[in-house]
Amino acid sequence: MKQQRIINIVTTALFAVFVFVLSLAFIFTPDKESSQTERRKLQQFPEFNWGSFSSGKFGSQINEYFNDQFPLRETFLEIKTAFERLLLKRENNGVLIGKDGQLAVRLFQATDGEIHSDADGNYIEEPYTDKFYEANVKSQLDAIKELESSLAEKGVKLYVLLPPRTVDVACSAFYYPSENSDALIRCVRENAAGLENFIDMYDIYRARYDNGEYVYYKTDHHWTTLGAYYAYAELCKAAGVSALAQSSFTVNVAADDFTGTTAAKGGMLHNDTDTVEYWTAKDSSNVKLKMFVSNDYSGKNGETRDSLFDLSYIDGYDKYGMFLSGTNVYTEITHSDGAFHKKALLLKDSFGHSLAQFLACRYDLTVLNLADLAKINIDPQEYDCVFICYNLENVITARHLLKLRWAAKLVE
Amino acid sequence: MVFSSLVFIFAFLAVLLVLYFAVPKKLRMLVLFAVSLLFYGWGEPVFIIVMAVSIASAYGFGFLIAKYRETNAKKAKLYLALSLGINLAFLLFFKYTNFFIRNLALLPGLSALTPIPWLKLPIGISFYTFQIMSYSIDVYRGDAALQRRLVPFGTYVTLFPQLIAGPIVRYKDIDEQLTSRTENVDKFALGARRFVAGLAKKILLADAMAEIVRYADASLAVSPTVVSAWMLVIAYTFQIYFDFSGYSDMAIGLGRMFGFEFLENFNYPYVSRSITEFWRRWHISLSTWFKEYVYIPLGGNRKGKLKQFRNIAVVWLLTGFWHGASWNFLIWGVYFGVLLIIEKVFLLKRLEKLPAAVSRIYALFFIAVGWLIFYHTDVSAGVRCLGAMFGIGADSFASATDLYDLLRYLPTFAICAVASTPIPKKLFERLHEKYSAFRWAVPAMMLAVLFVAVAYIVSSTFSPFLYYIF
Repeated sequence: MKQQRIINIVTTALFAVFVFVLSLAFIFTPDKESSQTERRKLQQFPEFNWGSFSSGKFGSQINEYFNDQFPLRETFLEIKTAFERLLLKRENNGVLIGKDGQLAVRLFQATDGEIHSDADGNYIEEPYTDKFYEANVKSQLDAIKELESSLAEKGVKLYVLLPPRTVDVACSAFYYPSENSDALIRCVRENAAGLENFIDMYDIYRARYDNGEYVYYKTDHHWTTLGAYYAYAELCKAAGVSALAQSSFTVNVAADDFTGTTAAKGGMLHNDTDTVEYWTAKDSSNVKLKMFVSNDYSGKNGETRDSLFDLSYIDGYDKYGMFLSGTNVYTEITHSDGAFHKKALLLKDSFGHSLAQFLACRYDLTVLNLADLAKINIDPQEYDCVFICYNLENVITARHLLKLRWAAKLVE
Repeated sequence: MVFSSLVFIFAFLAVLLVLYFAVPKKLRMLVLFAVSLLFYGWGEPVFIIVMAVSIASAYGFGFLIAKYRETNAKKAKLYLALSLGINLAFLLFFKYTNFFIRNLALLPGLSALTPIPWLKLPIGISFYTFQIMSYSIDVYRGDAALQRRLVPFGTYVTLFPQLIAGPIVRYKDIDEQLTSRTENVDKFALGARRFVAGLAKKILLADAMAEIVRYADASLAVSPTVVSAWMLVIAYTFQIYFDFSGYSDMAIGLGRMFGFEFLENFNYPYVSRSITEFWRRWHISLSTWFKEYVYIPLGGNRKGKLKQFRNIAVVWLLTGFWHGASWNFLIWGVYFGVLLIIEKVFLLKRLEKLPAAVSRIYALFFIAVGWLIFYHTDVSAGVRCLGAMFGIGADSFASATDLYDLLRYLPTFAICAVASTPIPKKLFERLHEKYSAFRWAVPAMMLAVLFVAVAYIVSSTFSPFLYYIF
């Protein structure tokens, strides 16, 4: 049994080497401040004191520190992703992997509108699912209807666009069946039936996607600038105004190496990248736009910029943030050419950011971020019309549209 | 701290290995004791106090029990009762107080009772309490000698490999190893292999199954289908086996690295042909504990059928309740108690005559339904899931999404199914015996599996922050 003894020595040595080499590598690789792929600050070595130790905080921070600063983190990540592929799972971290580098988030934390807690009263997070709760969709669309009728009394029209998620658009890229998307779209349509101006673009996006048009990003959950343009065209049609033709814009490429949120969520580090475009009207020589952004609702404190596009975002990972400088509570876009422009209010989530560049061709815009606002006060004298642009993901995972019920009561 | 974390493998274990093998033999026990306390206290150090009181009382009473054991049976019994009482009191207080409060509050007039918010379950208390109790009883019965030194006794209780989730080591099984055992490269190699095997079971199989369980559970809550209910139950059946037996493998492996030999805790439970056989193969250390310290003292099967059934009922009520302070665990215990009695009365003999495939399906079905009860702490959700398995309350037989998921998880399910049988081990042993090349490949395979498992652990901590909801 001499051979077995040597093998045992080899086994012991390999195990020890693996453990010690990585331990030493951990000690000697300098700590990183933040992670580009994970878009967050990494845990640094925690400060030790008895208080934090006895509360267990030190222990859990050390755990975090190890996880965050572990050597070859990205290599290990790729090994795992490759292995999952080998096991034919077709997904990673709830992200679908489709044809031509198309990714889409499949599972969402859909809410039934209740806050759940366990027997000890601890808050329970909503589980990830590809289902949704009809009651939540219905109550939010009812809130929109209430706002519509309040505004109608004052002669202001409301145009509602609830853009689909990537998974609702790029169905043809995946083996994943479209039944859950279809059910959600059906539910939204049924509950939007009473709305006068509900812009239903679900079939349009699917058809355009299947036609090979680049309407949604492959690695990010947003629509592309082209996708936003189509939304603008439909909104104009509903509002009875003429939209600028596609040909009257100059297409500028801001970045062709955009790796968005979906790829980050799925841990796909080497996926195909996306192109971020921003369009500028060709005959805009005498149109000057001014943008005022503020992070308080009163809209008092903020700064003024002379472009809707903030190209400094292109250097970071959040390249979509170049539209309207990312998420702000309150944004005002005004024409400084002295001519008269209609005024519109845009109630939105981040899908509205790339839509705003188009709406601003025709309107002076006030842009409000639905998630941030506790109270929305709409003065009907101030606006000619109101737009809602709010992604289906947020419809099923949050309840912010319910705020419109209060907004409806406040319309005077 | 859990074994399947980076901080355990690359900090705790790395430092321990150096420390343990660098100090003189005499001090090794102390090293183990100290690091075990650190291991335990990592998450919630306050609970070290609870454990320390338990250890101290059993250690102290041990002297009194041993002293009066032969001279004054009454006194010995009294001290045994005190020792067990103190330990059980901790377990009852921390584990069950809020359960009783919550249920008493349902009675008319008692609705003012509210659970104590700060009361949390000290990790591993169910396991170490049973270990400590086994010491007192073994000493009382004369099955083990009094442990005079605190460090070996403390180490017995706190020994980090089995501290948190077993195996529940009986004192008499490890008594001698505490003071005299040998560490060597053969044991270490075997231990390392076993640890890696357990890690792989936990990380690669159990966690993959957990993903399906979470998903199927969320789906069931919205639109139940027959297939998704079965998916939940089957995935959970695999999850709990690979999670728990993987943990035991890691514990046994780690113990062996440091020279300990723990008894096996699992023996391919899913190939059982009856529930009786299942419970001889599942969580063996717990069943043995109940058998030895509850069932047999109650009279076992020696006092007639009726008493035997009562004893089975008592043991299974306790076993159920031991698993958790919640009604579903009690139901789960009763469920198995009833099945075991039915098998004792007539079914076992019939099962033996059936073809193996039939009796295995019988056993697996009732095992899986058992896990369904075990999983659902919300009993009504469990009933809904059970109904959905047979089409009651289900929206449809299967959705297209169910089939999609079934298909993409098929390879993983197949791996789990094969890994639940002794086939891989038999194959391994045969190849190991026959081919020298295979023997040489084993260390490399271990390293590869360890590598992949670590990759999965690293990935599980991947938590991208997304500017998402806006």
